[in-house]
Amino acid sequence: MVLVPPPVVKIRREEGVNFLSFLPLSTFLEEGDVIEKKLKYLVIAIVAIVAAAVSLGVYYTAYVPMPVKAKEEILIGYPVHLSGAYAYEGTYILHGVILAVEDINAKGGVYVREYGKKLPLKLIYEDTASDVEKTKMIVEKMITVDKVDLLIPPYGSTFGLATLPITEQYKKFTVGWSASAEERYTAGYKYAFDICTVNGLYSGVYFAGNIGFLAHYKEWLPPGAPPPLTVAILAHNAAYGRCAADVMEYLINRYGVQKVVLKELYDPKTTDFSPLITKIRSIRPDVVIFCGTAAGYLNFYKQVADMKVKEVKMWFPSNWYPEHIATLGWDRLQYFFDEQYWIEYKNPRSQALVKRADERWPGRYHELAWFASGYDAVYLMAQAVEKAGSLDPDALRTVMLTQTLDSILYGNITFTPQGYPFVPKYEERVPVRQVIGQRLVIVWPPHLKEGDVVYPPPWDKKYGI
Amino acid sequence: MAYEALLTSLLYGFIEGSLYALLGVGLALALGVMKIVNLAHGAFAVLGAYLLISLSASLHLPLFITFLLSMALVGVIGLGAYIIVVDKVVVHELSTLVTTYGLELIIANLILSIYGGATLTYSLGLGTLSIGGVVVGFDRLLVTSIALASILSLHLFLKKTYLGRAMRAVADDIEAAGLMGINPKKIYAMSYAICALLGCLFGLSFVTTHYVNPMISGLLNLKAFVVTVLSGGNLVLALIAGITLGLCETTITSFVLPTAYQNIVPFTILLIALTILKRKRRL
Repeated sequence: MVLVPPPVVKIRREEGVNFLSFLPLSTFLEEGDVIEKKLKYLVIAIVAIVAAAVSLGVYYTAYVPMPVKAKEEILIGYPVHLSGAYAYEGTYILHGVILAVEDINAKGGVYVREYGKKLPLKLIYEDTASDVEKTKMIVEKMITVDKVDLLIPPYGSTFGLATLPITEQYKKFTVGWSASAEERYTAGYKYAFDICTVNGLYSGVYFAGNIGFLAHYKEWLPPGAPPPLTVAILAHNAAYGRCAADVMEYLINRYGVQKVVLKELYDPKTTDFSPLITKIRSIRPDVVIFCGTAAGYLNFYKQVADMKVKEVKMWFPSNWYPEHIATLGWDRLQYFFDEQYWIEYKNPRSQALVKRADERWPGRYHELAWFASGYDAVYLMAQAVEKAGSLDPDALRTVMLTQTLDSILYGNITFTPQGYPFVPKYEERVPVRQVIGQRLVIVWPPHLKEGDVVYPPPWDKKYGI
Repeated sequence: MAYEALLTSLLYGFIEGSLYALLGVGLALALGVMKIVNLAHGAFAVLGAYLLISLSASLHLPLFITFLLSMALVGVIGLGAYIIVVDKVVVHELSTLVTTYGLELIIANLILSIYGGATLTYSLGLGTLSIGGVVVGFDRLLVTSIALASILSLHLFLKKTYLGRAMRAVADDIEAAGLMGINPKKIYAMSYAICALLGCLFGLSFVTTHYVNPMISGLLNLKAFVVTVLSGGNLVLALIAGITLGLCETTITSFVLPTAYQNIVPFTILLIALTILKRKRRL
């Protein structure tokens, strides 16, 4: 028998179009390489099978109706900052969200009238790395791919302003501590509800308690002490800082008890605060309210302590984070104030929640409002779904706007059409604390008071001057 | 009070300025010797600061040893980065810009992943001193002394030692230096390591008087860049430029402009200086 060698195909690039040139295979071949002719048919067969499979897949996806699965759970999505610049806040909010989901599921879930049964909550969350673009992608993916029923918006004005247009476009109902900048409330979002309250003009949750406290100085001023009558407002020159400074000035003017003698914006990238401190020392205001970033707080108060500024009677940052205290030390913060945005946090229910969270995540400090806002996001959503009897975003919006709901942060609340909670006399209910010894002592309002205000502070004793 | 305010501005301006100068000389050295704009300079500063914080928290060694250890580590990382990455592209100006920017991003993001985005500071707890009624921390005076001493030492090193002269020779004419038996590759590597060390020294000084976070390296690069451009790579001029910037920043924003313009001041000075220099050259 004569053995006949199989026919071969030779790749000749210089000849231009080759039979196999449209296949990626040909790109790996050099001139003169030999391919079995059978291989050519095999490749064609594989391509045909793959093409047929893809066509069938496309046809079934597009035209064949899928059987409707019965609703078994309510899917909640949360794009959370677990790393990057906002990891601190994001982690605490997530702890609150997790506890709320567990608490509601322990009771069997949320009763949804349109399904005639209780549905458990299922939480999916994804780290945004505190990156705006990544956050937008995650939000879109959660809505279109994961098909979440409800969404908790990412924390922070930058992220809220970037993602709320997406959630509105898909009519996704959201509740959470998101954007507090003015633009959020004037944008007219229908399905976005914020836990961060506003005051007066617009976003004013921060510092409102400090200003309420100052306005009522006659109720806490020690006999014979000089009253705080002049205020310097310092804020970082960014959307939020400018907004906060305006609101502070508005509130101070509305009360008409103090006078604003300095309203100064500083560059958020400032590393040296000595010019600002020099101005303060020259003007000698009774009170300084400082609204800044974490870096700003640390650097400003470090320098204030280093320069032994004794001309000011009261220093108000917005809120001391435990990491600030750990970094600066109690000594540097002695007699400085802050405010606790969690106005119901002395409530036994809130205290029990904090205790549970502290035990679950040891080494953390769950008295922060971020934690409560996470809990409230899920808790308020669950109440809205039960009252609406549906997951329809319009029905949920109607409930939010017409009914009084319960919250951990504020107690009973109602929402305004702009989507923020209306909390009457907010600035007179926010706990104000003073650093006394190694503790943050609540000195205001009277019904929550743990100790008396140290005023004016004994700077001579503190600084040895 | 006006006298006290002026003295405060001048004193704190001088302190800030000496730190700017320390930051600027590292970048000036890279530009002068290797003709590259080292955009990883700020990242080495931040890396040094984070190493100080983590080493002092974990090893509990005396502060001086921790300082030296942090500097040594950053020096080695700088040298490694040069040999592995920068050396391959050092002759292409645009490539070095992109490469060092890439290095900065890698270092900043590694710090972000390991330490998170928290802002940190490190207190030396040295107490304070009153100078003419102005209170200033010993830590600030210490870092000012370190900055001035470092710049002076670097100046002497470049003028008086064989290695320093070799670096200057390479900066002047790389081919002639090669013909004289100097190995430019080694000089480049050493220069880059010294730049990293200077960056680290700035970071250590900065974190004890200010703060750091992983995002600050870009801002530090900008400030260093202003000093470098104003000095044209000359160390003595870098010192003068740094101190001038510090003084202008504090005095102008204390008495003339709102604090919001604080970071505009150095760039305005840079633009004015460049405009005048350009006009002089044309004339």
